[in-house]
Amino acid sequence: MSGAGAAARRETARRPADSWTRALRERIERTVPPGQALPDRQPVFVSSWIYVFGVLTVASLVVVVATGCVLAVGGVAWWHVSSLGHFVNSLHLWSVELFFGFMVIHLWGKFWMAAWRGGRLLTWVTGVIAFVTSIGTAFTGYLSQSNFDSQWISAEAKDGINAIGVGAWFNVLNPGQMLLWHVVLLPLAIGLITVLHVVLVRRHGVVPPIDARDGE
Amino acid sequence: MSEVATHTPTRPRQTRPGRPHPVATRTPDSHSFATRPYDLVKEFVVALAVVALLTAALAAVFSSPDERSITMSGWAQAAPADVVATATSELAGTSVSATYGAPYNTASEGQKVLGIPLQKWGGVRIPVDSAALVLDPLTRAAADAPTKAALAAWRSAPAGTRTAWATAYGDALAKAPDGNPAAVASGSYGPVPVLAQSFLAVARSGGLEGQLAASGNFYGGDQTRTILLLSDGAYLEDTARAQQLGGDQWGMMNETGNYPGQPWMWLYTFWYQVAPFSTSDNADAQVWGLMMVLTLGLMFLPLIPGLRDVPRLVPVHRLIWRDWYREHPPVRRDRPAPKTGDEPGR
Amino acid sequence: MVRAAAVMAASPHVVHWGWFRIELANLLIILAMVVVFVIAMVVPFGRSAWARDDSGDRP
Repeated sequence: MSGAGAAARRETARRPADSWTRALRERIERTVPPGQALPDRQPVFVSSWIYVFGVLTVASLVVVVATGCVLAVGGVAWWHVSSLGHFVNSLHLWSVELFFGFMVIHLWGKFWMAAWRGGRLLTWVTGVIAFVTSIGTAFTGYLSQSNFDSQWISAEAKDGINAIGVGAWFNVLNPGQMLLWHVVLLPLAIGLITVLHVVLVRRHGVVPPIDARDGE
Repeated sequence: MSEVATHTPTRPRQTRPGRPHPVATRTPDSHSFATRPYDLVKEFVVALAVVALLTAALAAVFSSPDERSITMSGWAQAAPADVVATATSELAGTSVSATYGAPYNTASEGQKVLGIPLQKWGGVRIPVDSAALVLDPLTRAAADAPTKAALAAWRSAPAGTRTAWATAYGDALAKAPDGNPAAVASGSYGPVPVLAQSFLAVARSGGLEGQLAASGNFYGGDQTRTILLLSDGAYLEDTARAQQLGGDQWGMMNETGNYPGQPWMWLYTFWYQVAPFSTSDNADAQVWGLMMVLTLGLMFLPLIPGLRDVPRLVPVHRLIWRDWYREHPPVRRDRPAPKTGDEPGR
Repeated sequence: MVRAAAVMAASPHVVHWGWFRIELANLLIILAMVVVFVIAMVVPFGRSAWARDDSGDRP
């Protein structure tokens, strides 16, 4: 028996075919091959400022979540009674405005690039889901302010939600429920969809210019 | 596949005169192109620093709005006649919440979209008895003798009589100057004027929020009944309209003061301003339905012929990739272009 | 800064064109987004801190 054969047998014994760990690792590597997850080079056509708005959106999301976490430390009413709390609320508000601004500019850019080409439909779809989920998250934030604005917005918004029959499950007049959606469920959803979106971007690479040919 | 990110690119093919490239029929693999150094992590860190600084600057300069919430005692102080009129309409069953339909009661069919009664299908899952919004706090409050007598008279009267009393008093209030209860013409109102005045007193005392929100629980939290009552009055809307927050003032995207609100809601807000929605009784259901369809349209825009071709037809991409196109001029198309692969599967 | 915050807290400025109306702050945000988008389109990317040009090719 050759030494090489024994080594191969040992290798097979070390890596059982039904290893769940190995299956998961290979699944991950198939989805995003190692060099593609964090490449240090990009195609030469990646040469426009419009490319930075995706990263700016993710960076804004980080600031939104971080400032939201600081608000959470103080509790629901902290920002009404503390000047520091009010400043953190201001940080939270303006980071949200920047987040949406950058996200929409990113969307405009990707539209004009027809960035869904080359099997990238799901990347586009997850981007739109992230946008819509963000709108819902911001909305629950407005309902969680515990001030006049949230009183009025909830009084108005109930009619829209009730009109489609879901007002009892998503009760905008219940600030406790809205706060939990705002700080747990919806951020979790945005986090997951953002990860999926970025994984898809890395998996497919940056979309080539319209009318570009293979290997140029 | 692991080496694709640093794939050795082939040289750009030369276009020979008279033999143009065939027009690309599919989107090439992104990894087949020449590359150059691009530091994603550095880009992210710079972006994070820029956003953090920009946020801090905007927050420091502009701050953020915090218009204090309306309290029931504030409402009672500022607009006592409105509180009395609202209490009367709750007893008469004519308030907005009393005639709402699902999910609060069965008083109306609710809104429909394309004839489908989605609101009704949702069911009455948060039952709200509008008269109880007034009677419960009065019963729980340490009421004086006249209030106790009025409550007893109300409870012992037949439903038709109660409604007749409260409706008559509501009509009389509407005719009185400024809705002033003291200036109401005399009539057959039963115990309603006493109940409404006592309700005003409870509201003034500051105890109403707790009475409505707690429902026997030490911890409140659900403000459904409180906000329904508040929005049955005119005071909440008057205050909102003064801040440009009314539904017909494009208020859904606005914020109190001069602060930016939710400009991303512009399209949702827009539909409420134009016919047929601006005059429809089913506007909420219709606008929601329309926005769902439009959102699906945006989501699956890459599959919609015509719309997905716009980026190719309007040459913004020539601007974005101008460096690339300078190096790789588009070939002249001597023959009709085959399908050019804007659809996402290609 | 205090003055800027006071201006923000004042009663809202609204811009009207016929049936169209928008709060000035929202309008300014949308205009700023359009301006930033156009700038991103027009300004040459050149060499940023994170993207270098090494003649566009590496064997």
